[in-house]
Amino acid sequence: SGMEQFKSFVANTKSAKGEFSQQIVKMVDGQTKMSKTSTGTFQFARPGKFIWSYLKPYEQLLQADGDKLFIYDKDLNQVTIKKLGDALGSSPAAILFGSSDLEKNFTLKEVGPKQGLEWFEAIPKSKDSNFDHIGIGMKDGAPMALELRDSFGQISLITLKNVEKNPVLKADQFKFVVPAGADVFQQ
Amino acid sequence: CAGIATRDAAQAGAQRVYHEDIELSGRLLVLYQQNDKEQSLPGSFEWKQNKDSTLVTLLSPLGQVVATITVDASGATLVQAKQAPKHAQNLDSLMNETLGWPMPITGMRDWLQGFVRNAQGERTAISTSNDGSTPADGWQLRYASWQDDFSLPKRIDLNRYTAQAGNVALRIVLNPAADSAAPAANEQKTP
Repeated sequence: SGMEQFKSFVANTKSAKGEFSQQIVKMVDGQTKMSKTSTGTFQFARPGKFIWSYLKPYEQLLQADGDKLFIYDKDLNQVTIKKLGDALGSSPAAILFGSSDLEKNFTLKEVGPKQGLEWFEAIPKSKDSNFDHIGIGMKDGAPMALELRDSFGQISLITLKNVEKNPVLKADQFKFVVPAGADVFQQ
Repeated sequence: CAGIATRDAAQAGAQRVYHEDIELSGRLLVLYQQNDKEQSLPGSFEWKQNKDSTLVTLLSPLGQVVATITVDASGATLVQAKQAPKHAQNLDSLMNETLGWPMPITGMRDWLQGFVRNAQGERTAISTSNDGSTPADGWQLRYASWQDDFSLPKRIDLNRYTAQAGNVALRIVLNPAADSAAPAANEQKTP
């Protein structure tokens, strides 16, 4: 089942890297409208360290070093720094990259097979999370797809590709270096 | 101010047509003060404008809708996640009471397309070589960069001091129009 695969994924995958593509599914006057696909790469190491790097259509980086979350937008040339604590809490990052006690922040529910993946649901317990519902599609013991539905009914479809489990990562892999000339805003 | 614009840049700037109906999207960084603590909100936005109304959708960095704001003849309506819609005649007061920072949506109907109002209140295209800041509706408006084809601005900086939110800065980077739906066919020429 989805949840069994996920529990084993969390237990024996200390870190991973791969590629993602993300599409936003919007309801516009009754029809679903797919946004342009954005693509990028990701790396993570438990607990709480990850790099979620959008490359197309524009460069934007979300990076957590276990303590702080850095959001860097190349065109805006600015870095916003936030405490990781609650920012990670009930976000999808917490599911993929967080510590293993998922049930602390989410209610989990088995959903079953769909489009060749075994799905389960994670419903954030905290009311002020941006997400109403997060679906996770598992295959061969690894998450392959995420469905993030916000409270406006907009769905982000994230598919993961070329996922490599427990790759060799440099010691300072998740250390964030502020790009030269970028403005920094501490939250 | 800027030297003589290169002939095609100035010419390209002047060729821009104002679209009454348009959909745009982009990234937005909001800097403001809340009980004198610096706040910075990175995110993105979607902009859907027609003759009678403007719909702005504010999204978190991961693409979740944080709030929607509609401005039309009846005033402004703001919907935040998991809350009932709030309506007010005046957008500024609505924004200050809810999000805590002002967004000059009426002015942005012109500014996002690189137009400003002249002394007579007519909508005029700003020259693409003018990278100084221009006062507009109480804001300082600056076009830091333009799309490669000069059809739209790329980086727009808006700055203003307000009593409630202190020094407010909105940094906007517009995605190329191709990323959002192309401007609707029935746009009219600049008056």
